Amino acid sequence: MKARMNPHWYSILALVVLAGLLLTACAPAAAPAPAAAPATTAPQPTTAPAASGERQRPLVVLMPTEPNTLDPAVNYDYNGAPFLGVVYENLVRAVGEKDPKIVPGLAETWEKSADGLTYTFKLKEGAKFHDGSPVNAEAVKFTFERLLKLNMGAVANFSSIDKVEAVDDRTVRFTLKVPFTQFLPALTSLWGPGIVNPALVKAHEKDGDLGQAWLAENDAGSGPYKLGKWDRNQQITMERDPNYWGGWGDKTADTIIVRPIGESTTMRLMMEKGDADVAIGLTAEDADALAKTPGVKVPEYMGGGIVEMRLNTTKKPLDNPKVRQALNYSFDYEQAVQGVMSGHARPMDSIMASGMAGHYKPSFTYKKDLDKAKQLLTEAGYPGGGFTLDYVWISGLERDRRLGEMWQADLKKLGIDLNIREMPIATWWDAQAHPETAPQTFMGAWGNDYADATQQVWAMYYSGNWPPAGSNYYFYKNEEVDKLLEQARVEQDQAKKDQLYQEATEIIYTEAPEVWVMQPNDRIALRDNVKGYEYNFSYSYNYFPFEKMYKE
Amino acid sequence: MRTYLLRRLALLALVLVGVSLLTFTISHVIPADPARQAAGPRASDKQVQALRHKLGLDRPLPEQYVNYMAGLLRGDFGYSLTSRRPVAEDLKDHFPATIELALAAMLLSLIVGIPLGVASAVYKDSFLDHAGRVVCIAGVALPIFWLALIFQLVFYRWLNIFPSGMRIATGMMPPPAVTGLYTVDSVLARNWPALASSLWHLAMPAIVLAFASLAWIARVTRTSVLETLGHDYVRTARSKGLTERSVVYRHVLRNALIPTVTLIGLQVGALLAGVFLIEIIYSWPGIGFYTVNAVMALDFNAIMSTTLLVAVVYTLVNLVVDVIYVALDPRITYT
Repeated sequence: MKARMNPHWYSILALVVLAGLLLTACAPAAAPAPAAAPATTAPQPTTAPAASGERQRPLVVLMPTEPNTLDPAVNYDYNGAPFLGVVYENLVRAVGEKDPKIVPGLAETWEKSADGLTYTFKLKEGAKFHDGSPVNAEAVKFTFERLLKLNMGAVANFSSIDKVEAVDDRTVRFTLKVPFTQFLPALTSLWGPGIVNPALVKAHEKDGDLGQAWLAENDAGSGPYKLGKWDRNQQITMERDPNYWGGWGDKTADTIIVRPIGESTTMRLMMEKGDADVAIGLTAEDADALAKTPGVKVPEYMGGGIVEMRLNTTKKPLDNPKVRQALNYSFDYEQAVQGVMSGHARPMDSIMASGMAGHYKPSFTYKKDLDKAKQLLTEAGYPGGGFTLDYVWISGLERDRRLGEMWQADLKKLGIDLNIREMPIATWWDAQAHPETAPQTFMGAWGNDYADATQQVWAMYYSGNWPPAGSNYYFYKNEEVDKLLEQARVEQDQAKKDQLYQEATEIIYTEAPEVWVMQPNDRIALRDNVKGYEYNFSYSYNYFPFEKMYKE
Repeated sequence: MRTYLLRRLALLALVLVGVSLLTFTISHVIPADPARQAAGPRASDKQVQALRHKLGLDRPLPEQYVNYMAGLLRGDFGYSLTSRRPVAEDLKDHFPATIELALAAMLLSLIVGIPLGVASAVYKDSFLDHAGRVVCIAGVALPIFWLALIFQLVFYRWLNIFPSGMRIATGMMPPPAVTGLYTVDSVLARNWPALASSLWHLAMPAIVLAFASLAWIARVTRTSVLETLGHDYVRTARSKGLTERSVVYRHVLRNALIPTVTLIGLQVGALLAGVFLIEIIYSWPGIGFYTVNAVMALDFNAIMSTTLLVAVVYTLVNLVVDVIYVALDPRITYT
């Protein structure tokens, strides 16, 4: 028999191919980092300028998803905050880790008329857009008229505006239809009131879209950073504006890169390795793991959002306030905070989040008390329970599933069956929009657009705000509450206003259209060498004061 | 042959109508309102209505379908509810990333899979054969998302060989877009650091994605080569005094590769499915990443477009495979 081909031939070939492949793939790994590769003769710069001092390192921020538009008049999601917060500026902003204060932004001073119907702002001198043109009264007028005309995003917070006038170059006057007392706090919001450069927007207007298509991926702001480039689903690069009118400190980050990373585990690995400097939106497990990682810290702040168990008050037996009270006495708030949240939250003491203006406390607090719950159920005509409740949680929110399971065990003791169901968010939006289709109980979360707790009270308990238009997810209606809230919203006398809200709070808390579960903490992961971070209660952890942040 | 091709292309059109009808119906009967999704949770009813009207979602379903298909014929993929711009632009941004990843994976599985299969067959029951079979069984049995996470842990976190996520190093400018494939564009721009970086970023997702296809290709090639080696004409070739090399290359391989080529066509489907998992885990900004977000947000036009795109690619690849048969085996003719 003829000798076969040299038996090693194929193995060698296969090995060479494999080795070659691996080598090509790994080759750059041997060099420290491709970004630091020597300058080439390539026609355009391939890398950010080589490191030359503290100012040159990009600050890499990870978050779960990217915004869908960068237009301040259209964007209305938390993912827009890192961008809108530093590229655009408002007349006024809010600052503070807790109990935020309203501070000047583009406006130097402001005045409110005695009847609460006119607000006059004096703009700071020398404020400039990124292209060098001045931020004047006309720009403010244009911004708000555009916002109202577009009628998108967070426009509802500014619906009280009747007209905006440019009194002179640096003075702008707002006239309101009603003396809405939250007008000034609403102006601090990141969604809507960021001042845009009228000339730029007009130049890019297409088919009467008020520059919407262009502004969705370009910037027309005056803030310390300007948009570098947005590679969809890859990164938003922001560059420091060296000519920023507000001036710069000694140490700054020249480039900020915000990356959407869908997997919390991936974020964690990148943070551990130092490939990223900041991460938000981590799962509790990954945040815990990072807190124990050398080189990373995970500070925790009291957040302004709440987690709530919404009750559909139009459905039996939840139309009975006594049953709803019984449910409030059946919930284990302590276990929710300690067990499900591992202590990274606080129980609530009222209908709204604490830590900001507009927080009022009722005369009592719901605590887990199954005897009291049993007694209330008996009074309501349900001795020994004997009914089933639907409970819906949104797919992906593992926390809410666990809260449901925890509650289910306690309800069993009251003779109530909790039927736990999962629902994709798209389906959920439709289900919760109408009293007939909204589940009996469902988990939800709320965060304010600006730091005034009464925004939530109006949005969630006023009967004119039933879904789908509003956020009264309980389909709650109490004429007395409606009257109190209508008055309070426009009451200029602080003492009277306080009293009105106090009364409304007491009624709502007693009638219990929901189970107020907790106020979760905001946890943010930072590499140790990241300096200058300050948490902003008003804008939650999605906002970063990048102009103060740098890497050491 | 020409009639055959024309018939196949006509069939492709039919397949697309079927796929579009199915996807359209399924995505529209889900009890959810995409206009509300797009307008945002706190949008007023008026805003939602306005958007619904603008997007044509207030029309009857058949009319919406006809409008959509008419737009498609004009090359208009519609408007994305999530990115708020034409879907065509989104596809232009995301599709090249997926092509690059899938091509790299396919290339890897061919370059490694076929020689591995041939070698396993020629040296049946040798150490190489046993080792190859272990790799194959692992590749076929291990779920791709698990493999992706393990690779990330081992090669990114522990060994620090590959980066995780993204197509190019942080702070590095991608090469000017010509094809949209970073590796190819870097070569065109003679930008070697960018080429190195994009290859380095491509490696891990491509290897993981290639693993299953590689295993299948090696397995089928091995079986097929073994079977062909037993044929009479191989014995004849050997007895003619041909070298073993020429027997394997000229007589065995060509005949044995037909099942492998069929498999390649099918594996393109598997690769495209795998891309959805891989892209999420490695934050690879391709259509997998894009479609998962679109599905979550019930972004009809985006879902439709990516589904159709995947269907077109799959059908075309299989058509090409059928044509390759002819080149491999002159006995096969199409009429």
